[in-house]
Amino acid sequence: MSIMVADDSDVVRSVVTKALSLYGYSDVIEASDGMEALEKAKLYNNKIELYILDINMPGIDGITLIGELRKLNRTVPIIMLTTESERAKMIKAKEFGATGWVIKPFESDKFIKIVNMLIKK
Amino acid sequence: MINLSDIARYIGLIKEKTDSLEAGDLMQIYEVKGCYDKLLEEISYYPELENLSRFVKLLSKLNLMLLKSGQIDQIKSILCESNENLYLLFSKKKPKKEVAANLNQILLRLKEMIRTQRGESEGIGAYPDNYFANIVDDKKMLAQLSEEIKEHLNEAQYTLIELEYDETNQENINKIFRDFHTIKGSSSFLGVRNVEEVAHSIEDLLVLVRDGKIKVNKELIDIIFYGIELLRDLTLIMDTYNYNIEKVVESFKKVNIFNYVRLIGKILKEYSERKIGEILQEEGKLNPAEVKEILQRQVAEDKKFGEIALEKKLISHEDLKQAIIKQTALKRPGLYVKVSNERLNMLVDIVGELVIVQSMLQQLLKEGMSAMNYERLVNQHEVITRNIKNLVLSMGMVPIAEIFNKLRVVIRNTARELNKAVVAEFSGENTELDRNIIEAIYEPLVHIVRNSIDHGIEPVEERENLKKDRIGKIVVSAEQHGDGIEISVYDDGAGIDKERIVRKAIQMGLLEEEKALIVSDKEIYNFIFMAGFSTSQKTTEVSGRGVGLDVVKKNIEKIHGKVEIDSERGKYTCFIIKLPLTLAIIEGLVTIIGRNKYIFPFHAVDEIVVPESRNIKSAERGGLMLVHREGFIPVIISGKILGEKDYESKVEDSLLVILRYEKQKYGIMVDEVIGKQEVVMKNMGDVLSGSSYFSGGTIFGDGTIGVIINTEAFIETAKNVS
Repeated sequence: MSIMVADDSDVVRSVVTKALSLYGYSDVIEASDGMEALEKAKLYNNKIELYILDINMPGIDGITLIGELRKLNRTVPIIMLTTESERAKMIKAKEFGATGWVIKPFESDKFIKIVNMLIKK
Repeated sequence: MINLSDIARYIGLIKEKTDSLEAGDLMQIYEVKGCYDKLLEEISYYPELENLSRFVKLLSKLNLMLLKSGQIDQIKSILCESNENLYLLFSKKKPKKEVAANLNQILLRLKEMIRTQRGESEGIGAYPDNYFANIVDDKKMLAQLSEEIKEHLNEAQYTLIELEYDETNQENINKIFRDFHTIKGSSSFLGVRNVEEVAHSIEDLLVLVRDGKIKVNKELIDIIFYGIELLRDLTLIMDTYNYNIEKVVESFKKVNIFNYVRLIGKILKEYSERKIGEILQEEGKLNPAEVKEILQRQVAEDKKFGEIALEKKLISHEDLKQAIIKQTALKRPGLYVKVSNERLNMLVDIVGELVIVQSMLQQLLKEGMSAMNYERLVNQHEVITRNIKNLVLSMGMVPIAEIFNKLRVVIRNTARELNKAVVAEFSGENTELDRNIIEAIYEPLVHIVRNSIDHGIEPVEERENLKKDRIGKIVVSAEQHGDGIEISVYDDGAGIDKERIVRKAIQMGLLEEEKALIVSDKEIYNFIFMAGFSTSQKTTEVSGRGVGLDVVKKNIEKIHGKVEIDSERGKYTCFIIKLPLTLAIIEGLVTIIGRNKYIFPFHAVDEIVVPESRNIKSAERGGLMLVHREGFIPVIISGKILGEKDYESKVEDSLLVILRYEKQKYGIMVDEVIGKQEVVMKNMGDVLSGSSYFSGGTIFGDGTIGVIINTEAFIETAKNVS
């Protein structure tokens, strides 16, 4: 099973990917904008057990993306990456079906524990 | 008495943070957990709230499920209700009894939910129809039973925690065994078969432990803990439904005990000693008919199974030997030594070098060797051997944290036994000591901390009256001091009543009455360590076990240690154990002075200064001073004190190692600083024992030796010289 990380910032994406692989999640699908994320999601739909999405992305933004992803899979956990100042967007994201959000920057060990909790069967 | 405002605050915070977690802020889970932990800590000061703390622990666990569970609404409502009721409980807005009943109801629901989460609800119909047919329908007796079970479970739990830290304690194993034995007996008497069966299983498991067939380990303890929780659930059901048989049985049937009983059954089978006959049959050496025949003969003749089989020439001696080895294989407990990863890696590295040298030697032998190559290899080999030696010696060293952890439990349990509120603080956990010393020091330390809680720390009410912090404090610390390790146990309790000791000493003929006025504190405290000397008005179960402090002293002296007491009436008592360093690792700053290497204990080193001539001043009484950060630091010309031959270094050309001793700084002149290093300290024997300012020597990896400076003695000597 794999995890998708979609963020237009190379730095954030590589930090998250590195943290994930450090804790044993080596199968990460990366996407650098909403469009790419959606295409890959359609391609690997059954393989992805967790989405980690930036809330602001060029093209299809994070919130719209949630709606599209929910059409594909209603239960898969979706974590949004946001910053402190985007509270209104977070609530919107939750309405669209996100599982929750994590405010950047974060400590990776804590983040991984949340990932563990979300995808443990 | 209970600090409501804090508890209420945490409950409030939990509510708030749970809300934002639920809204979607995932990181809040840590905040919530932190609040639950704080709440638990707050509650843990009150022994009477123990059940509650267990409840809060469950809530905290449940909270983690919020993220992944399919039952979010249910969990939310339980958390919400719990928080509400907890608040009511502490704010006293409702009678305690009513709230407690509410909480119990919630707890039942909670447990049921956790069970479904774990997928344990299947097999619920596993209870045969007449399983509970014999339950005695007598509310009073059932209530008594429930009380009794809970009491024994509590006891078993405390003992189990102690066992976790000292798995060899046979007395504790027996204690736990008796607890479950009693539970089994009483519940079978009243026909509460599920409790009986669970207790019976645990009892069987403990028999194996008692007979040394299973070693106590974390998994085993977890299994027993699980059983304790299971039994607690069952008593909770009885209590909650007020011993109404129909309701209790109905709820009993929802708790599946059989998985647990089966699990233990599996373990029992794995570890029980198998019969020789069974093993031989399994190996195909005997067939079932033969086994049966031998067994029959065994009844008639008083002989062992193997003997008969041999007589009948059914098996060979070798077969029997193998079977016996197989039979006993399970029983033999191994002795282990824990070695840190770091040291193991070092060993692997060194062995790697050894292998290289070995192959080079072989190569040389084939090709014929030149004397130079040969010498180089032998030298290399020598260094490697020495490194291995040092490393293996250091593997015998263990951090004192090992016994500190055990002491933590002893302190907690003793405080609970005596119903006293105590917090324990530890420092210096990383101090390393020879394994043998660690083992020898544990018992005396246990005795001392028990003594401190029993005789030192006053009961809560008394402390309140005395305007002391209602929670007593015990501080256990370990520290390297001069040429030894000092372990101290401090309590902020009543202190020692010197007058009473003097009276008692006179009464016992240990002290002449005229001398009573001139004896020193030290002498007075020394009386406490004499056999048969107890000033306690009543002997308690805790420290009045017939073993006095005299044994403590004797045991410490056995490992060449000393024990001293410092105390102030009404304020504190401190037991100080001084242990030698026959073999200890210290962190040292390695320096060169003159022609030799000298090592300063790293903890005493403040900084290293490169002196400039304008900062060096002559002191009035002779000697030099360093002007440093607006202060004067006396400079010690170490080469002279250490007796280095033809030592003529100038301050301007040397480095100054700034040492701290008794709040004063001293600048030690050294020629060169090599760096910080872990060194194995060794006694130097008679050769240098005359120089008190050395605490030992060490051998470096390259074969050179170094001398370890005893800061205290060194600076004292230096002061006298100047």
